[in-house]
Amino acid sequence: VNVNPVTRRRRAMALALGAALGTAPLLAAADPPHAFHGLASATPKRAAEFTLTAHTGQRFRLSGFRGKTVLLYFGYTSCPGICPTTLADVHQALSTLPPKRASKVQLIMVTVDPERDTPEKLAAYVTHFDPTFLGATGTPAEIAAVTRLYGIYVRRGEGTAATGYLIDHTSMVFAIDARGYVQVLFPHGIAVADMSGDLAYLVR
Amino acid sequence: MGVLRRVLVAAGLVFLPVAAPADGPRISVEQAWTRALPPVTTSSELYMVVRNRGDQVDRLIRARSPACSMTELFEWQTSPQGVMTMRKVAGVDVPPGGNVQLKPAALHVMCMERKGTYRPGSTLPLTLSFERAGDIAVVVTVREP
Repeated sequence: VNVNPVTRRRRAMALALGAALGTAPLLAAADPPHAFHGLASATPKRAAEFTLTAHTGQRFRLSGFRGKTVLLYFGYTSCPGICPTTLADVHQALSTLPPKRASKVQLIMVTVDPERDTPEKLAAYVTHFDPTFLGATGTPAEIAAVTRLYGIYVRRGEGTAATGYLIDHTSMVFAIDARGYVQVLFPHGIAVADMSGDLAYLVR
Repeated sequence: MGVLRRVLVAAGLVFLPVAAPADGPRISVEQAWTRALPPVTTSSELYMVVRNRGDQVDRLIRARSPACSMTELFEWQTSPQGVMTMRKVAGVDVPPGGNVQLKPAALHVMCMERKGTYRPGSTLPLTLSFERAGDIAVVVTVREP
């Protein structure tokens, strides 16, 4: 079968994440209610629960956001390119929705760098892209547990005196619906229009 | 040179590009930009299109800017599982008649320990060094986050 590299990569990514989340990724949908642009799950599973510290300093539970569509992302505040691109794209996607609809979406960026990312740093970082974005941190053990639950690969990468170190990590956004189910994954580099199309459906 | 052209040149009707060499690389840099980032993020990625209108390949070997403590050529690579990994790049060939795009999640100039906070609309100077074309001055525009 002749499959183009992008499709192949997306399938591999879907399978890897499907395995991580215990879901069966939908690769060829038969009559889907909405043709998701992101990687949709055929049998959406409940998003794994966790408790972390918000950038406001308050502890929160993921399930506390039921009723909203949660965009769960893993990043860090020294991240110079990948995370800013994702956060700027999400902000852009939200700005294409009517404000009332957009207000039903909550982006949460969980840091993969808990040793350096304080709530204050996270606050400065995420709100730079959108005032509604929320940063989350915790103890290194708490963060390790959450990244494991979501199949996020984290590795301290190359560093220099100037940058400190960079972190290689899985860069994708988990879209969790208002009932707490992971409906779709947005791989890095997905077009803003595709993301906003899927979000418009989720907050319909 | 044809007879007609010789006549026209004699009449001063044809501009002859005397100074420009007949061949070699001809490098230009377009659409140079960087994203405005909060002060908490000390490094920035610089993006641009490097074009070569000449007939010889040239190689981008270095970038530097007084607005950064250190600059490097870096490239992001994405694994099949969606993991982004960055690696240092020694140089980048710009093919004759072609271009190389420095863009998010791909090849870019990494500006480390940025000096000052960049505001949207402000600019920073950058010098790109090429093996053949030498130094090219670039103005990088800071865009909205």
